[in-house]
Amino acid sequence: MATTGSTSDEVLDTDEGVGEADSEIESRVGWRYTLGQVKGDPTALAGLVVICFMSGLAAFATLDAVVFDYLSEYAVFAQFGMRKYWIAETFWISPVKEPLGARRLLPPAPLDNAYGQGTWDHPLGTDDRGRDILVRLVYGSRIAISVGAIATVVGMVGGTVVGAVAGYYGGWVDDVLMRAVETLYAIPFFILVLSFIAVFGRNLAFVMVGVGIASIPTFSRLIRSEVVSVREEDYIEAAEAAGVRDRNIIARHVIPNSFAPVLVQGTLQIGTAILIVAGLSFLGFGVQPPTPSWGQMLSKSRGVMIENVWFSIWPGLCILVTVVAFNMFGDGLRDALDPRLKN
Amino acid sequence: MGIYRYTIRRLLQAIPVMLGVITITFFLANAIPGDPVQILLGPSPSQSEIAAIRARYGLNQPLWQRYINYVLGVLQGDLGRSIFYGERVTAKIAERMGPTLLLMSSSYAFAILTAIPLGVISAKRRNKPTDHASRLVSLVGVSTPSFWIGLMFILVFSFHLQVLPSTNLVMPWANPTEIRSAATRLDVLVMSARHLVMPMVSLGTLQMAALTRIERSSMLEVLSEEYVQLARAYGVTESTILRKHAFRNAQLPIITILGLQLTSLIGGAVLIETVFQINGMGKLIVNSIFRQDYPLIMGTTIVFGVVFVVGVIVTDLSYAYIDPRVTYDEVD
Amino acid sequence: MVALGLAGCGGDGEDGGGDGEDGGQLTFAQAKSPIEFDPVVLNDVPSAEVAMLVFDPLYGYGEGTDLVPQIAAEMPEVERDAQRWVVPLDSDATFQNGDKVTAEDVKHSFVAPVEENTENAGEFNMIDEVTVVDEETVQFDLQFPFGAFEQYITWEIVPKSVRTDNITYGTETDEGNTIVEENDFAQNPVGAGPFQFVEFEEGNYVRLERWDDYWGDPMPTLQEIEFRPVEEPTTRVTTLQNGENDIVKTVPPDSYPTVENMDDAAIEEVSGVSYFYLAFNCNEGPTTDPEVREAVDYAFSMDNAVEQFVEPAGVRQYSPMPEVLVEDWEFPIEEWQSAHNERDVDQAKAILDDSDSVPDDWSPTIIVPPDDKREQIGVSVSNGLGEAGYEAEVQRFDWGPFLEKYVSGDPGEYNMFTLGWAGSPDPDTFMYFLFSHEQIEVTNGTFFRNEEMNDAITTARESNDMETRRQAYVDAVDIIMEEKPHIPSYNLKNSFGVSDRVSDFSAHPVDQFSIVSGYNNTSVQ
Repeated sequence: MATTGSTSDEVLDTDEGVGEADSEIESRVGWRYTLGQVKGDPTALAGLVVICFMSGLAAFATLDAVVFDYLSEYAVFAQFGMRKYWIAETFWISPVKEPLGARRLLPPAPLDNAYGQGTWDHPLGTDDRGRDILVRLVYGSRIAISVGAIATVVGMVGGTVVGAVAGYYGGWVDDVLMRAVETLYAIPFFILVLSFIAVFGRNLAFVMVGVGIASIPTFSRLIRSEVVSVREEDYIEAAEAAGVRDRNIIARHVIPNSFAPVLVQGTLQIGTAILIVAGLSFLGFGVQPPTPSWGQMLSKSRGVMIENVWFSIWPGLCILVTVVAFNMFGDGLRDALDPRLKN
Repeated sequence: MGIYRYTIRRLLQAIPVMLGVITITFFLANAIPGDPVQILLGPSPSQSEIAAIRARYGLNQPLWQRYINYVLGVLQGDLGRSIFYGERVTAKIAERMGPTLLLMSSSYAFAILTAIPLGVISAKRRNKPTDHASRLVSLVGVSTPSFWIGLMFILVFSFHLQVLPSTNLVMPWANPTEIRSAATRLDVLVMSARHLVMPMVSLGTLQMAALTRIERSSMLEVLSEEYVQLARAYGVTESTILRKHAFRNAQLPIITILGLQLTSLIGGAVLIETVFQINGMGKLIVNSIFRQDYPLIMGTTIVFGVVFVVGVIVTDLSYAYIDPRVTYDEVD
Repeated sequence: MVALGLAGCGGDGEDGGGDGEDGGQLTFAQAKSPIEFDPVVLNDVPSAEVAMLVFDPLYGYGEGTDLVPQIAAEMPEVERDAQRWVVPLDSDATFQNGDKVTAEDVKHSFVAPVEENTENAGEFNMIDEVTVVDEETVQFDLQFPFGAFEQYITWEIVPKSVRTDNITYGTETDEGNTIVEENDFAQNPVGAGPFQFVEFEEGNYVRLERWDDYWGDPMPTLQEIEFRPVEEPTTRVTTLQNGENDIVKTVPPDSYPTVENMDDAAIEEVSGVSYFYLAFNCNEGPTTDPEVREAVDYAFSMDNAVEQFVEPAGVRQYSPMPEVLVEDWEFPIEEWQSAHNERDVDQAKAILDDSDSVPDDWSPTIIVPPDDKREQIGVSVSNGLGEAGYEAEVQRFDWGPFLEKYVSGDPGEYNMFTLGWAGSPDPDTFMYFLFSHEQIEVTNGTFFRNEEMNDAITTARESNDMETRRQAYVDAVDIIMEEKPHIPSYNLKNSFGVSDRVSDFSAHPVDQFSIVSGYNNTSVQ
């Protein structure tokens, strides 16, 4: 085992995984096997259920907040009254508007506090501007899930390419790329993202890319160590002998056969990314108002924590539950890939 | 290859990495929009005053020239002058380093001291209620935003119970005569501990949880090794196996992780220092970013980079030292 | 320094320095860390709060906005139609190093900001010459008759020799100013005030101790003060609750009931001389059109925003003149108040939709400083405009970038901004700095140009006749209310959460607070 191997819990698993598979076909069978294992793992399943639920909410919120907003510019759709937050405003309550005289900082329905008695119109209470907390939590899931997922995909794609190329070619290519990755890794994750946002502005897209770039080292180191062993397999040598171009060998054979631990890490990384984005929001570097996001709600709640702690508890719990779910599912995936550690 | 040659090789490998860190931070920091001189001088500076300040901070030179000067400066231990404070960056960092190192090391200590027993018990009682409880704790621990834990601690322990202070960390090495309501060294230590407990636990929880998970899986792996099976077959008691055979080997991954987790620890420190008003490197860097104080942003990032690189080398070395199976040639 | 400990311990008979009674040690939580303590240079509230205890001014304030001679022996002699002000000095006044306060020191204190072109240079651009008449008399000659000058001679006095000895001066610039390379005086201040500087660690604390040989009256009872920065308002309230701090600055509006309900603490507050507002970019972009500004006023309810996010920490204000000035000058506030529009989103929408200066997809940018109240005001505007069909974006910036942006006049940076101004109790402080054409790009980010208004402000500034000045200000404010380069918002109280351990501490309308003065003398049990 190399002393500077992978980056987190995977230390134990890097020399295991599906790299053992002898061919692509077998590796696909391996995948099916893996999924079968996960099905039998109640913890992982519970995680998956929560992930699906949150992703469903996020998808719904994206439809209502982004897709409708986009479509409403076309007369065809606008004539139906389609607009941003169409569904929310038609069937429920607006996540951004505050009616005149809205009651601020109400507690959850059965309780009362200095601001008044909670009402069932706002089952979880209202925020600092009198908006319903529940609807904002639902629409806030969009930011958490999409930022987490997109940032992770950016990191995964970037890391996989770098790691696969480094591992496949070895030699000076490997040296140069790995030094570059180490450099990126030596700048603390959070500080790298902070400076990135300071340079490019507090824009959601840059937050995603920034967090993604900052996670490239994790993935590239992980996949590199896989690739180093996959490279020696017979079928790779066969492909090389048959004159298949390097690019195709890497894309079709090397990466698919080294991908399993990356997928596990990716699942866990989404959780980490959600935590990081919450931290960024806390420092004021997140999504700008009035767009609802959990991190921003948490950050706003700080100013009224003493008077209405519920405003802080709900988004905190949402983050906690979502990240727990990604971790449970990620753990399940890993156990399935490495049965020795399974319960 | 001997351990000395290995150490030297690792240090040499760190040089291009540090050069890379300097390069990345230099160009990132200089790309931040806004004019620090404008911020420094306020609304109506005269042209010649602006020119003088620019010359003073070397901002009148072309970017590549500044880059070369900066790298040369860093090689001589000169990180430049903070634009906001007007002080040397090295002096400012030296002033702020103590609280951050104290916070980080105490969090690590907390994490290690709780994670190892939790992980070992968890592995030993695999799938028993103790195991489930410990796994739940670590699962929740890695999933909770550290700053939120800190905020809740302040609310509960400082505001409602009024048992712990929420700001103004007292350094354990502070001079007792300078600290209000402290007469002896012991008073200072007690005060310091009371101040430190909430930030330490808030920051350490994530590390504790991550370490517990690794400790557990590492123990499980070691316990399934052949030599352990063999020992069992020979009738060696479980506790002896655990103590004498399994424990030491199971700590190896922990050591590696300690080095690598430094990066998340530093990120967490930025948030925790903000929550508890601790005057350390984390707050320094966040404020520098707000103030566009380039020299200070670059200086703090480089120092964090050094802390990280040294941390990883030290863990690698201790790993090599503890695990006799590792030959130094194996290292990439 | 050795703490004096309990009163009476070992103090038998000796009347060395400590003949004042022991009023204890005070810990005071500021909203931010101070940076420097040289009055010539400093330009931030936390630094000023500390400096005012170390340095004494020529004139201080009484309990209200009335002036009281401090280093000056009596009120100034005003000659040549308020173009010449002669100030006699108190012959007892001494600095903490034992040197007498001389006319030279006073002169230096007033000319150094200009000579060194510090951030305070603009304060004294009306001074033509400062003359040392004799050791105890200073004479100020102004460029024009300036009635508000008495508010400017509240400036703190520094010891010239100590200050210049501790400063490294660099080259002279083309404009004849001197560049300051290093300023050690700012980190080791010596003044003529009741408290001596002991120690400062930026971001951690500032310690002051009573100067036992203070020449002035009364001698403070308080033995020692420690200022600590606690940036987060709720954490400040927490430190009051658990006894970490004796006094915390600026109680946030939502924490008023919390502090009021504390068994062992109370709120000490006074209406401040301040003015917070929403302003428009009248340089470029749709907001150059007065109709558009009118429409924004219709789109949201400032009354409602202030009620929800500022009260009880501040009160609604309908003109650029704070309450104190409205009372002192008997300004027609009812008339100005009626210029304000009740919320009417439909009206706003109609105006904006019909306006030629507003593009259909107009998405205005509102920039706000890092302050929750002002951010909330900005969000209210944004929400109102959203309902009128225009998505406005609120961008919160830290002070550095904010101050750079709001005077750029670039509609790409901002269409509107929220800001505040606090100053001395004369209308000139508000009108000149916020509205005069001279201050555009300096402290006036509206770029609003109106010759009639500007002339009125200049007339008022360059006159010593109360009635002329009053009428000119009324004229200027009338135009402002009509044209709406600003929508006035609120006046913030100077509020403090004060523990019951503290007695005789007082909030002050201009100085924020008073530790020791002719009418109060703070002590801690």
